Amino acid sequence: MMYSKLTYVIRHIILLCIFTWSLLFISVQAYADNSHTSKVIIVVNTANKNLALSKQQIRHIYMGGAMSRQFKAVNLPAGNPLRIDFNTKLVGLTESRIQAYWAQMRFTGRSKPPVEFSSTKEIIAYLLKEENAVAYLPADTKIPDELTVVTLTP
Amino acid sequence: MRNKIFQIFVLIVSLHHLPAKSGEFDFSGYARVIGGYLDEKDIEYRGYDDSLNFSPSSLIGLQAEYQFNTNWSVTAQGLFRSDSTTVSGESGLEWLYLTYTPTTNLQIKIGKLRTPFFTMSDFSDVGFAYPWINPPQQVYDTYLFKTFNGIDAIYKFGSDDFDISIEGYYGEESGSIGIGPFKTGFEVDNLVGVIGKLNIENIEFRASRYNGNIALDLKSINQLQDILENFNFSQSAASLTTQGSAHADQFGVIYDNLDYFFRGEWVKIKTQLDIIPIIQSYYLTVGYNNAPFTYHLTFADSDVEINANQNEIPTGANVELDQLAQAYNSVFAESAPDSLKTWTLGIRWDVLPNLALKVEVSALEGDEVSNSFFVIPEDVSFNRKTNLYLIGLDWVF
Repeated sequence: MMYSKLTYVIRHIILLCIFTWSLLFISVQAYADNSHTSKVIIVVNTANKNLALSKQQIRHIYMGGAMSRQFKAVNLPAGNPLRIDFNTKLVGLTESRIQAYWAQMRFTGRSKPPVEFSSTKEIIAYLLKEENAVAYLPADTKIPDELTVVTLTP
Repeated sequence: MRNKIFQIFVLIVSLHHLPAKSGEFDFSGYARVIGGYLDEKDIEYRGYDDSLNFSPSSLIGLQAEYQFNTNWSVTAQGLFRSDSTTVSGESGLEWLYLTYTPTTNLQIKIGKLRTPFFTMSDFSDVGFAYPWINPPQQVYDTYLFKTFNGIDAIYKFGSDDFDISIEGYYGEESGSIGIGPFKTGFEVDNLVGVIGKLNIENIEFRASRYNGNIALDLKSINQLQDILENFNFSQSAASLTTQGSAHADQFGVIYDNLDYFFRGEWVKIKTQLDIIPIIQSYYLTVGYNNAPFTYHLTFADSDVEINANQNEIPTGANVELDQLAQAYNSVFAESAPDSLKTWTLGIRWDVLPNLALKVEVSALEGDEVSNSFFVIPEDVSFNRKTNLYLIGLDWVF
């Protein structure tokens, strides 16, 4: 008897969750619109100083596509404002969709997510020693001469 | 069993707190705790009934990978379910394979692999990887086997605006599968599959096909076949064959942008065995992203076509023949198909980058003359309409 009462309660909790989260959705909307608008540049360790990549190619490099084995993508940690900006403008996917996608790739042995560093300083250090490593950085970052800033093609 | 799960859980968590990469070793895993309740007395649906039940879908998966060098690695993945008796499968080794990556475009896996039949087949237990609590079961819980022994090769190439991957696999498998309400031993050889994937902008198209030769271990049916042969009812005998080829076709689309997503998939499974019905199923999902929440609505349907009954046995002539005719008809009646329509409304909340909380309500509407994935006791009348409530936590580590 206790058990069926519990299930009754759980059933109502689920319905209540759907209802309250639907309400939350309206309030979070305001927060979501308050996104960062800083400029992002794409930097690669390559001898080709005229390297140009399309938005689609950058997306495929970061999402385990054919080019991801040629170029090594580098990420900032989840939640970093620059990463959110990069996901929004270049990858075109939400962080949760990206995380879900990498869970799929990892546990089916298809490919691995980009390496992560906690600061742009560490990223630059990694780029300098790793050929074909790719990273996004704030537009005002001082880029060492050995690295190439990629021209974005439409 | 729960105690064992807890011990494994503690082991995984402690392993995980070792340096993430000791040498070239990499440990990772996934876990899910799912509670469910079916709004109907005396009926069972995928292990759920009218009491809160956490067993059918809760599980822990653990993966270990060792990278020998840039070209070679070995991976093992084990799965521990809280309830191994359910239709969803058993605890055990899911993957054990060598990966060879000779060029940047080609990847070859050899060993025990999950079958990549449909879009989510090879990661259907990794709940964190999809928006629902369980993938639409009309497509993902049909009479298919989960693993095979063999080889899988993926070739990828791309251009400025598209990315293509072609995957092929070959292998064999034996074990047990459920056909309608009964379980049977099976063997599959010459399993061949091809998958093509095309990514353009935010859309992914996936089309696949597989073929295999199957043999079911159904001794009682084989005995009945011999009797029918002795009576010269050769057509009826032939229709009870437990060996033949099987094939499946699949087509899927996934569209994602920052605000919305759409997913659709259609599959058809057909075999040369008359006792296995032809199944066609699909689902359509629309969703809305409002970080950290994802709202989704899914319609799924399955249609099953029973193969024509080849009963040549005259009835009313004598008792022996009447019994034989009855036995023959019951074979087809027992493999009664699973036709079911569902509407599912759910929310996923990404609490952390590796943790999601989900709730879901499904309205189920089955075909009244079939099992429709339900387990219905003989003395219970049930109109095949009910609701399923699920709540769960998905975690990757």
